Amino acid sequence: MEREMEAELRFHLETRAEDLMREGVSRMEAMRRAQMEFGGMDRAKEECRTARGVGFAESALQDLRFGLRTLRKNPGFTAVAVLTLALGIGANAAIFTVINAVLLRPLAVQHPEQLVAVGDPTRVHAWSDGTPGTSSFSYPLYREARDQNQVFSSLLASSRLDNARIVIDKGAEDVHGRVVSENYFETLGVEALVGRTFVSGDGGAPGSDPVAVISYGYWQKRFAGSAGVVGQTVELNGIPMTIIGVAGPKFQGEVVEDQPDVWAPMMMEPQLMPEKPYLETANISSLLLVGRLKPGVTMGQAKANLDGLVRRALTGRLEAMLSADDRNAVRNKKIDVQVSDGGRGLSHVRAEFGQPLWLLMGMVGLVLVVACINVANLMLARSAARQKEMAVRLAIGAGAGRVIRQLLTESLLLATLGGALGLLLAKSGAAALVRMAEAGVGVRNRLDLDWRVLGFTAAVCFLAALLFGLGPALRFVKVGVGTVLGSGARHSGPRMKLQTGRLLLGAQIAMGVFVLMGAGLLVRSLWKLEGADLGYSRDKLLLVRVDLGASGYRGESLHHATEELLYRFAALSGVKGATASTNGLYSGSESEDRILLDGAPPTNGEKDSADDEIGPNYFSTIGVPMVMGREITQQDFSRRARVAVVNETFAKQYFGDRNPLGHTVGIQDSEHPNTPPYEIIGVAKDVRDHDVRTRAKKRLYAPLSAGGFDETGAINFEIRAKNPGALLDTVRKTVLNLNAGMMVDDPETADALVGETLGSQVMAARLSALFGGLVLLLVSVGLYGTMAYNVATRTNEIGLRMALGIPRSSVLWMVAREAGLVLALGALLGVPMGMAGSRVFQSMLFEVGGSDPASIAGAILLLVGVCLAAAIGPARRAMQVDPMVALRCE
Amino acid sequence: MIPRLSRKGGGVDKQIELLQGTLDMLILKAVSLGPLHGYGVLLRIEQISGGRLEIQQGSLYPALYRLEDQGWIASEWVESENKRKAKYYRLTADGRKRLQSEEQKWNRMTEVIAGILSAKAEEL
Repeated sequence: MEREMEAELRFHLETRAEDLMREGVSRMEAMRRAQMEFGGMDRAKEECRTARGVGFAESALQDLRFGLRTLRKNPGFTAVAVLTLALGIGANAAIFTVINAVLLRPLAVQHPEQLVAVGDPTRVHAWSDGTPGTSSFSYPLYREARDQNQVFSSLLASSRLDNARIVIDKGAEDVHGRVVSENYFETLGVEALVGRTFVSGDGGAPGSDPVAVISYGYWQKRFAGSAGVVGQTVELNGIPMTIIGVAGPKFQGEVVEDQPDVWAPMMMEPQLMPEKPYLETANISSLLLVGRLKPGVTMGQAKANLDGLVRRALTGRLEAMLSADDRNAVRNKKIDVQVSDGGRGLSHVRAEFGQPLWLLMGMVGLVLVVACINVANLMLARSAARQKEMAVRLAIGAGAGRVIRQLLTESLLLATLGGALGLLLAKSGAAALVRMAEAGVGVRNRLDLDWRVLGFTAAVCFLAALLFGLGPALRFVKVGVGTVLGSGARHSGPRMKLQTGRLLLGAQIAMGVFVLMGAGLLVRSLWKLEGADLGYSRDKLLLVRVDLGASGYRGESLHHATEELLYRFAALSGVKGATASTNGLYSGSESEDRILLDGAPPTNGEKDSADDEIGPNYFSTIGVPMVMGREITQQDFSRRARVAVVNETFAKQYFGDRNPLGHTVGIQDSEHPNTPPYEIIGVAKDVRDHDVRTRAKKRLYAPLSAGGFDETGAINFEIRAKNPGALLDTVRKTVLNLNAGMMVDDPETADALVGETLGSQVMAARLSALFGGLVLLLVSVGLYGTMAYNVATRTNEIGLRMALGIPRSSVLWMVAREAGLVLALGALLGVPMGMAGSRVFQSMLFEVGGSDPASIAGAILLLVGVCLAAAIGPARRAMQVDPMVALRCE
Repeated sequence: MIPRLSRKGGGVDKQIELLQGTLDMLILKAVSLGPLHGYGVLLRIEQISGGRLEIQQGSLYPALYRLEDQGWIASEWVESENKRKAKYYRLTADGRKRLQSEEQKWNRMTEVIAGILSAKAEEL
């Protein structure tokens, strides 16, 4: 269209010139005259465009072409703006990518919106052994729920396959496996890519169908995607299993952070995990349940149906499986089955990282605003240079709307370039973040830049462009034609900009204070958490968990193996002492039992207490002081004394001011009804043994014994050593020397283990500190730019003042006051903002209040430092202004 | 300021300023006599008016574009008399109706205005 118009007008001019030449005018003169007669060519063109009702797409294309040309002509400006935006947008996209993977993305299954999680969706690796509960389900209870419910078209169950190990052609390899109900794939609507998945005919009876489905990833990795895999027999945990199919390529299971390699039918569970057969016990609850709702059924209806069903099952059909204690416990307990959205999968990581991620999203959003203000400042600074261009465009008849559109197109172009670069950063940034958070292999593989991430990034780009582009664009138009084309504009321009610039800088510093304060609070909380007094001395302590039960030890042999290991650990050079416990420190395992005090149920306080079985010298080995009495020693073990230690909380709750020593405490246990009670021989200081944040529970410590009250079979060993880091491998080898087939977890130092429980805290602290640094960088660049520009435009004024005899120091003061003013403005706004904002993430703070003076002071000091550094250059330049040179310029 | 040149000896005093809104009607009339390119429209109007009416060249094209946008004239690229491609405009059916109604309106208006201007005191 544009070209056609050009051609038409050219034709007009040339034909007119030819006519004139025919009258005897020279060629040059004819052309000149033709053009003069025609008049303002640009104005006519612009009017033609308006008259024709230029198509939106066409003019957008024009703007785009013009915008690209402008950006190319100013490579310095473009580079700085694009880089600034790439940092801002990239950081946002990175955080959002992780949020998408962990919090938003639905499972790759059919109609995920119909799925509900039954039980606690965060307890994905839980294994509870005791009174039946509904946070996870036992197999008999699942069977009842599956068959008796009226709300699901299908209900699946799945649990972890412990220590899964596949042997293919004699090559052994550890894999991630899950044991799933036979309707698992059918419920999720996941089809096999090759072969078939389980059908309800599989596993009619326990152990009857040794078949397995493998994941697409494992198929590619181990079988190179060969179709011949179907029918092949592999050994899974020692059991020959036939591979019947490969799941679809997108399917990664129902647990967000997991990525199973192999699925086995639940009926094979007793064979695959012989040490933990759970198909016929109601006491082991380890199943995650996911149901597909029938059409029209609500979550509330599903919950009501399940509550009634579980109560009926536990007090009816399953009652015979329960001990007398459990029957009582079930009758007295309110049945409250948790039913929640299951379409996004089950996840522990989501519960742990959800809040920190949203907090970081908020912070990084502010970082982007700060970045946008920097770019807006750049655009404003450039506006002085472009005012004439714009005025000319307005004068030749471009509407104000058209000019704004042109400028916004340029902004969008910058934002798009920044966004594209940002996406590159985001991909690797998100991966680094997930690695740092140790959020699990499943999450790492879900970090796709899918439509949600791309849409988010596009929206962010658009908003950013509006944010930094609209203000400067409106100013262009407001300044108007006359002021600029008349040369008076030289002074009026910068003057106005000074006010706007100050406000923008103040806002930037306010947001900087906000982000830095948040980072300060999180970092200080982390320090306090890491340094918190847990009640035991955790440095130089090494922990290792050995699953003796799973390795085939029972009763007396388990007891002997424990003693033997303790003996061997103690004999290692550099080891000062070794002890053991069932639940131990930060092991994730916990037990609680009904107690009897002096033969009767307690009258004050709860009837249950947390407990643990411990080895000799437990307290002196892990470094817990005794408050009263003494600890359980080797002598007590040798004579099998029935003695126990309680912690301070226990003593205070049940004995108040009385002396608990000499009283007896018993475990009410229907499995061992005749076990004699323990005599309390000591009171130990409270220990935060499982969580840094929560206060110690009341706890009873009894000696480890063959056939004690906890028969989980896994023993935690605590080893005090001079240099525990150096012993990690030795300890593992010591265990394997006793029995090469022993199931042993990697030994860890207590420090590392405590650190692991702080994963989300570490991530939040590190990232917020990183974003704080980014904000500091952006603020300093912005401040430097504005100050330098101000000094440059005020060179005349400064020179004049100097010529009038004002000392150089007061020129310095002038510049310093400028920086001080915006700093004060920013701090005044930012500190209350930060204090109010900290309420949002209060639960992530530890022993630090929202108005923590150190965090506030730290934020302000950092900004003052950065502002000073940014102001030094411009201030020195101002002082070096030569009055003569400055005046000559005028 | 846009310079205005007199041509073909036409004296400045003989030229008439074009009344607002009449250019569209003149263009429609010009192309109703046969397809013309833009420069041709200009020449024909000047020729018919005997050089007494001059049209600002800069405002001719926006008017052509406007009329085409409204569907009263249509254009196509055809080889012109000097063997070059030129954009020729012709009247559409809609344009013919428009021209008629414009003409009637113009005639009524000139009648009324002429009547007013020729009025004498004794006739009132």
